[in-house]
Amino acid sequence: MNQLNGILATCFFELKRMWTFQRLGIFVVLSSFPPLIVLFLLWGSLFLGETQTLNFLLLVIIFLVAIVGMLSLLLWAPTNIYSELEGKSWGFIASRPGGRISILFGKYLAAVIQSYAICQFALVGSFSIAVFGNAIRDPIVAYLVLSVLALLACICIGAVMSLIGVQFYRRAMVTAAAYLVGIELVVATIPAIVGKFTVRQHLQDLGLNWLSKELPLKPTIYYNTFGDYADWLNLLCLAAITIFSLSAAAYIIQRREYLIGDEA
Amino acid sequence: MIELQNVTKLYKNVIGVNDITMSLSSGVYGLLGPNGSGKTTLINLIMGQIQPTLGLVTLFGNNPWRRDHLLRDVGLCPATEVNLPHVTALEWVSYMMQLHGFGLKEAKSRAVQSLTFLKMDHAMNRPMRDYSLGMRQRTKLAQAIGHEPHLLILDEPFNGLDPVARFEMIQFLRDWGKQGKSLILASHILHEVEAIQPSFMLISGGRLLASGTPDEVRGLLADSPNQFVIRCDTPRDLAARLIEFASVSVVKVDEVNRSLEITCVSPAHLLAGLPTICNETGCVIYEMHSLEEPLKELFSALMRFHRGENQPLGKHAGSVAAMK
Repeated sequence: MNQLNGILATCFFELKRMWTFQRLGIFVVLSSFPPLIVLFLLWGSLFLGETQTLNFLLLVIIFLVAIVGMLSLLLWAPTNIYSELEGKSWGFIASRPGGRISILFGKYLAAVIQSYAICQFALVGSFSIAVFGNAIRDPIVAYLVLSVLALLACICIGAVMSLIGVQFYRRAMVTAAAYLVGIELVVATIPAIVGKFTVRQHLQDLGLNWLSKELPLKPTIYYNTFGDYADWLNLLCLAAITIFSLSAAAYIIQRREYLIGDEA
Repeated sequence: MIELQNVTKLYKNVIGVNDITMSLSSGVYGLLGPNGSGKTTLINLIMGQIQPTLGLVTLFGNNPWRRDHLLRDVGLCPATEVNLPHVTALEWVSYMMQLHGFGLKEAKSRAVQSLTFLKMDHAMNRPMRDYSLGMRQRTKLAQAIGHEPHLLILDEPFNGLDPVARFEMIQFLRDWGKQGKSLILASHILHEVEAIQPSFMLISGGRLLASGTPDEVRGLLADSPNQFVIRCDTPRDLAARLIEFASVSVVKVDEVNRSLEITCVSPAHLLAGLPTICNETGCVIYEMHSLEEPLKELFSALMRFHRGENQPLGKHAGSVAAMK
């Protein structure tokens, strides 16, 4: 109970700290980026007669929301330990019973909430513009599916980035960016079993299963290339990645010597 | 309360603390040492934030490494400055209390109580970027005492304080000790620590050089080989008498400044005989001071002793600390 108290207190404290011009500015820029691009595409189709892109508008929205979600996670999740060490507040937190676990899970929760909020703003904005321009079929289903996928992505990738932050705390953001590019971009496109260890392939599988009617392309080619996992198996894999990452992070943070003070 | 047995901490090739053995029961202790002497490393070891490379640390009878429940009764005020410019003292101290396991209401009440006690009630709702160094120091102290710990560990608490704030801090620490609670105060400034009248632990180069009560440490100073300067009206006459002392090895006369620079191996005998010489010769001494700062002088003397360069200082030097 005490531990949960500390986790929630950390999460609440971090969310409260978001109310600064700098952080709100980042929030606004990230969340308004996808709607602005959608607006630009609609403007192109209305005034320039370029309608080809609109057929793929849903894919464009998925891509853009994924980008801003990842960027947001990159900003908040891997810096869990480094920001405390840099802000010299680690010593105060680590000297509390359960302080290390509270900071890990509390900051993870805060990063997931902030990133998901950005994704939601981006989704609502993008879909509102798309509906206004009558450019998307069945927007409610697509919006609900993407909301769930964004939540799963934030939970799962946030956990991996928290682990990176705990293990590689001095170069956390660089390592996390390398992970996104190397693993979630490159490895996830490899049509082999190794790809199943990435978050993106499972999210793609789920997206194809749930949005097969709304997508402009038939998913058969994808299934033939990457294999077809059942929804429950994809969800299980995502849960396993999340639990493994958070457990490993908790194990490491309890055993790592992060120094209080400047003396060494 | 705290025990260290042959504790050594290495940071790769750098020695943090070197073979320290000590046993501290409840009480007030001053951990004295120059910057970089290993004070913070020692605190980190006691708090279980780092693991000794060799030896054993126990806090309240248990190894503190990965046993953070032992910290429930400990309050730590690190030397580092908190860098949370947009957060108010009340928000931060409440958060610290919540991390300690208190519910939101209780945490806030404790935060208000400790901040008010430290005279921060007028500013506790302002962002910390507006605070003076003294106010930030008091805020740090508030988070350390808010949960009413039995043991309070302060790392350089006098840093950046103005004289009034220093006086208030000394008063607070004295009262803390009088309440029967324990205190470890790490500092590199002798007279501030001395004002709280703790038992001393003197650490330098990662080694515990000496320990004991203020009187015992003064005894060490009196017996330690050192250099000091005497400014008087007849330096040449005084020099002639001082050189007769067996403990005096060098006397340099500075006619321009009318002063003497004396090097002696055991100043206790010399200091005891000095009033008699002044009476006999009619010499008037205007000023007498050590060539080095008191703490630096003490550490230099203790280091010389540990290197075996001089005669033994006294029974306490280099001894294993076992304070009651």
